[in-house]
Order: sequence, then C-alpha cells, then structure tokens
Amino acid sequence: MESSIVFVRALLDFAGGVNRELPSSSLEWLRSPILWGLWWAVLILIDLTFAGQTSRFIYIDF
Amino acid sequence: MNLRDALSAVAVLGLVLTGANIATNHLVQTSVPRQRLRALDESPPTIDVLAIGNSLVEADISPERVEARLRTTHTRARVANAGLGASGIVEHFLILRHARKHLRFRTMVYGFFDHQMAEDFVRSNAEIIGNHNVLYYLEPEVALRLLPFGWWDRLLFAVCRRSALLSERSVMWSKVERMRRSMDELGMPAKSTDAFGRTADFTTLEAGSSRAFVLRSEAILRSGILLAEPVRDLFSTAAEAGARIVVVEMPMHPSHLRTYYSQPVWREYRARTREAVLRSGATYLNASDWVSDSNLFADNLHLTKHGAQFFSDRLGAYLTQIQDSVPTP
Repeated sequence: MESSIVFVRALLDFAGGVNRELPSSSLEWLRSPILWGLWWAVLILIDLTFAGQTSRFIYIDF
Repeated sequence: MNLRDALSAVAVLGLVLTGANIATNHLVQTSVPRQRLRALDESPPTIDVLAIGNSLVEADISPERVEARLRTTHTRARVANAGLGASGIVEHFLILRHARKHLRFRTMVYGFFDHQMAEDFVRSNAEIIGNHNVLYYLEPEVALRLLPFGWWDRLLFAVCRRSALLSERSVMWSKVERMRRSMDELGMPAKSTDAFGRTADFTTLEAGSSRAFVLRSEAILRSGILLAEPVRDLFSTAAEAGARIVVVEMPMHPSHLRTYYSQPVWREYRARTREAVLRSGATYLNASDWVSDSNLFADNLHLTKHGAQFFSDRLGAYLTQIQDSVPTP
C-alpha cells in the first residue's frame, strides 16, 4: 500500500514538473512530447470547463 | 525536454485546442440566443409588435395571446418575442439592430424592471457568459462602444470573441452546472424549479433589501441618468424605423411590490423614468401591478404560463387600443 502511494506521488510529481525522474523505467514512454501536448490540452480544457464560476448565481440558459 | 520536443508538444497542444474550438463552434449553433436570432430572421418581413427585453419579456409575453387580441381589429396581426433571458440593455440594442435588418415592425414593446434601464450592462469581460455572449458576435464593435470597459477588458474582449472556446465557454459550464445541481440534490429534497432554473436563484437578482433598493434608486436619481446610452440608442433606432415604442414596467410579484415598489423613492424614480421615456417619444405603461395573484408567478420575477397568458391578454388589449395611432411601416 505504502509503495503504491509512493509510486503515485512520484508519478504526480513528474506530471507536475516537480521531479524529472520517473518512478519506473517502464514508464519512459511518458516523456513523449505528444503526450505532454495532450496532457496540457486536457488541463487547459478542464480549467476552461470548471474554473471561473463564482459562488454568485450565474444564469445559464439551458 | 529539448527544444524540438517542446515544439512538438506545443504543436500537439495547438492541434487539440483548435479541434476543441471547432467542436465548440459546432455545438453552439443551436444555442438559445442563436435560436432567437434565427426565429427573428425567419419571421415575416412585416410584423405588428416586436417585444424586446430580458427573461421577463421572454417568459411573460405570449405572442399568440397578444396576436389574438390584436386580431380583433387587425386580421393578420403578427407578434414576435425577441426577449432573451439573462441579457442586458446593450444586448437588447444589438438584438433590435439585428431585427431591423430583416423586419419592419409597427410597435416595439420594451419590458423592464427595477433599475434595468439605467444600469443593466456587464461591467467586465469576465461577466460575458451565458446569453450575454451575443455581445461577442452581434456587432462587437458597437458593443464595445457602449460597454464601460477599460483597456484590459477591451483586450480580453478582442481575444475572447475570436475563440469559440472562450466566448462560448458557458456551453460547457451549463453541463457542469447541471451535474453540480444533480449532485447537490443527492439525498436531499429536489429544489423548486421553473422554466428558467431554480426558483430561489432569482431572488438574488432582486436588490436583497429595501434599504439597498432605496440607496441604489437614490444614487441613480442623483446621477440624473435614468436611461443609459444603450436604452436611448434602442429607442432612437426603433423611432428611426418608424415604430411606436411602448416601454412596459413588467408585472412584479406582490412581495416585490411590497418590499421595493412601495418605497416612496420608487414613486419618484418611476415619475422621472416616465418623463425620460416620454421625452424619447415613447409611451410608458406601468403594468407592475397588473398581476396581483402570486400563484401566477413561477418565481419572484417571472410569470407562469397561465400568468403570461393573463398578462398578454391585457397587454394585447392595450396595444389594440393604441393601434389606430400606430404608424404604418
């Protein structure tokens, strides 16, 4: 269990740019620039979808 | 990551965002504002009454009922309701300009409530979401002339209007909002809703307290600007089109009348607004107390379907009365 948590943390550190080392050599494919482009696109789209809404009522015409 | 890899990642990012932009652009072709504009485009070239305003006009004016009243004296009466929920006075002006390209109308009915005609416009680019985004695509240059934006918001406006992902972001927000609302109700009693959303939400569109309402009324009275520039432009554009303008103080819930419109300052505010409206060559119709039965209201502001029929019958009768003096297009 602890090793899994350490693994996930190392993976997230890599994804977030905190650590350049991957937790396992079998994950070297994660260094692919195509994946990085996709990863950032997903982050931007998630941000656009969820961010910016305030606690104030915003009328959206469904 | 070397430069080549970084450029490759940026290229992939650009491709995905471009694809998302195209997909969003496709999705929004059936958005509510575009449906309204298309309906206007497809109206007969000459109509009798064009109703413009926000969700109050959209919900409260039934074109069929007004037409039925008008047909007692005019057999081919046609009425179009161009009311758009959650829109402000700049959007109303732009919608009128759009309608004028395709339509001739004998009467323009403009519905308002509270301080709408003095101050109901977005103050920053961040506020342009939902139906406000007609500002991005209905003559954005005209919108920018009328909006009180500084250089930063003008820059953001220019960027956003060129990207569907940014200008139409509420398409995705609405889906997230639906999800939020359904999760919000898990294990809880369902919240009361009407055609426009959760009933309780609309109380936040009111002043909040009679004190806040009085202070706001007094501030506007002191400024002397009871009709903001977009409203004055709206009236002059309709007048140039040869239309009679009827400005309607829309029916309000009895509790709204008690809390806000019973304040002495509102009598002065109404009198001064009426004067300004009459000076613009328009007619002022106070219909705020036309619907006294609270059961005919879906929430604090909007009428139910039956309420809308009741109000529209009376509005139609009023328009029939003044019809003889309406200029012919």
